[in-house]
Formats: sequence, C-alpha cells, structure tokens
Amino acid sequence: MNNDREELLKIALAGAIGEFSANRAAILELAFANGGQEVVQKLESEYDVLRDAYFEILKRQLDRNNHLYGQLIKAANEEVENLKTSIKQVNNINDIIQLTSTVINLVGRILIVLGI
Amino acid sequence: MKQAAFLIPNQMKYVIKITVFLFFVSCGSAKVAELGSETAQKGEEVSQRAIELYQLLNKQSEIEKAQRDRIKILTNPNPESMTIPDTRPQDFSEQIEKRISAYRQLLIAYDYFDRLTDKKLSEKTEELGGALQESYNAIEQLPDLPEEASSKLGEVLKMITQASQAKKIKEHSLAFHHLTEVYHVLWEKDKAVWNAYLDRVYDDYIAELNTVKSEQYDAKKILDLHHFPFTEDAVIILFYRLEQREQLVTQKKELVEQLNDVGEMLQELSRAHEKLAEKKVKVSDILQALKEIENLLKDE
Repeated sequence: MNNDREELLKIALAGAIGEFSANRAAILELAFANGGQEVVQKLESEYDVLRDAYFEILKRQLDRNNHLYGQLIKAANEEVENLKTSIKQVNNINDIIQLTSTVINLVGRILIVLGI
Repeated sequence: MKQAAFLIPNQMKYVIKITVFLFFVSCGSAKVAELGSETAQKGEEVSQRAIELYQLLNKQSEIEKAQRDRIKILTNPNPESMTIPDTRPQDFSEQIEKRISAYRQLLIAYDYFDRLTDKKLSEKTEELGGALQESYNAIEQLPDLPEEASSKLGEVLKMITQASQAKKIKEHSLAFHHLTEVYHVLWEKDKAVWNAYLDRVYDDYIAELNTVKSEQYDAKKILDLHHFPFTEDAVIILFYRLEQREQLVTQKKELVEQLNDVGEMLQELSRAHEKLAEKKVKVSDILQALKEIENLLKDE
C-alpha cells in the first residue's frame, strides 16, 4: 500500500476509534436497546477490528525500519571487531616492551653463563 | 653503581626535546582518553536506557489488553448477560526485540570503546618500562642507563602508548559519531509510531472511562480504598475518577517524555563523538554534550 494512502487510512481509523471511544457507553446502550447483547457484542467486535487494523498499520510502519536495525546491528558488531583490533594494537607496545625485557634478561643470563 | 655516560650531550638534548614534545602530546592524549572514557560510559547508559524503555513499551500490550477487557465490562449496558471479555492482545514484541538487539549491540560496542580508553593500558606501559630498565641495569657487563634517561624511560613509554591510544580513540569516535547518528534518525522515525501507539492505549481508555456512568461507582467502597475529605457521594466519585484519569495521563506522559529524552541523548552522544574525533579537541563542547546527557538521564 502506498505510504500516503496508508497514512490517510490511519488518520481515518484514528478518527473513527476516537469517535467511538468518546461516546462508547451511549453507543452501546443504543445498540442494546435495538438488538440486545448480541448487537452489543457485534459492535464490540467491529470496534476491535478497527483497532486491530490501526495497530497493524503501526506494526507495518515499524517493520519498514526493521532492515535498517539489522544493518545497525551489523555495523555495531563490525565496530566491536575494529575496537578489539585497536585495543590489541595499543597493547602491542606493552607486548614489545615485555618481549624486550625478556630478551635482555636472556642476554644477561647468557653473559653470566659464558662468564664474559 | 656504574654510571656510564654512553649518551653524549647532543644526544641528551635530542632526548630532552623528544621528551618535552611527548609531554605536550601526552597531556592532550590523556585528556582525549579521559573524555573518551566519559563518553563511552554515557553511551553505555544511554543504550541501557533505550533497552529499558523498549521493555516498558513491550509491557503496554498487556496493559492495553487489560484496559480493553475492563472497559468492555464497565460500559456494557447489561453485564449480567455478557460473556467474559478476552480481547486479543496487540503484540509488538517482534518489532521491539529487533530494536532491543540493536541497542544491546551498541551497548557491547560501548563496552569495548570504554576498554580502549582505559588509562590502565598506558599505566601498564609505564610499569613495563620500569621492569625493562631494571632488566637492563641488572646486567653488570652493560653500562647502567644514565639517571636522566632511566627516570624518564617509563614515563616516555607511557606517553607513546597514550598518543597511540588517543589516535585510536579519535578514529573510533568518528565511527561512533556516524553510528549514533543513524541510531538517532531511526529513533525519531519510530518515535512518531510509538506516540500514535500510546495515544491509542491511553487516550482511548481515558475517553472511554469518561463515558462510564457515575451510578456505577459506589462512594462508600471508594472511601474504603481512598481518603477523600468529602461527604457528598457525587464529589467523592468525581474525585476518584479524576485521580484515575490523572494516573493514566501520568503513565503516558512518562513514556512520551522518555521517548523524547532517549532521542535527545542519542543526538548529544553523536555530537560528543563528533567533537572528540576532531583534530583539535574542544573540551568544553564535549563536556556540554555529556552534561546534557547526564541531565536527561536524571529526568525519570
């Protein structure tokens, strides 16, 4: 359905729902007077259908953005991977220093062993 | 202690110049890390707030169903002959779950951004620099590092890590700027739909409750539950109905305000990241954006 038409339908439904809500008790009493509980229940069901239709339009509008949320999840996940790499890179300096210390220690031991 | 001057004066000057240069870079780098850390923490809080709000929106389906069932009973002209109402709930959980997943992922990303800004990374470098110097000096056959160099070694190495860390923080801040910008745009798009949803859940129920006849309320039973300092039944009933309406209006208002607040927070977050990514960091701009977020987080 065209988005503009959908929006128009949504406005029309909201109007009808609002109208019924504002006069609910009086409308149901009139229905009861004209056909008893059966007519009341029928009217309630029709009103529920109106509401269902309205909520269905809202869900559709949200669903239209769903794929964008999918892309966001992917983008945020990629950023996590990039961050992991960056943290590792910053830590690399520490690894190099640690490795250098180990090498110097080793050189020291070799010098001791060789008695230089 | 052996003190071999293995660095000639010219080399020493060079080392001092580098140290001074690194010191200034380091001051800026430390500030970038500090601001980055604060932004990351705010990012985590905003993501968490968005998740909590979606959880609240998810609960509206139950509230809506209960309200529908109640109003059907209250406005039925002959409740004796009616069947127990069982309105089909309006389930938005599928749409909400997708959005919660997106904000959970953002929360994870902020957790890693926070780790990148951790000052322990550069502090560890300083410690390791000290250990390196000790290892070197422990070898008797090698001349000890001169006093000036040995006292500064850990610090200089720390500065190098800080500079590298700051560079990375800026790079990632730019990525977060774009990411949160899209989160914000989508939030605003969805917000209009959620507002329409809340109008139906709350405004309709308020309007429908207004149509219930006052005779259906029992002032004595109201007084069992509430303390209204009035004697006239009609006044007690009207006060009770007013209170009911106010409660519903407040519930809706809180949700609408939170929807607006999270939108604003995402916008401020994106702004803070944009400023942090700039070559010349303007601290006041970032602090202002973070302060705005802080204030919005307090508004509950």
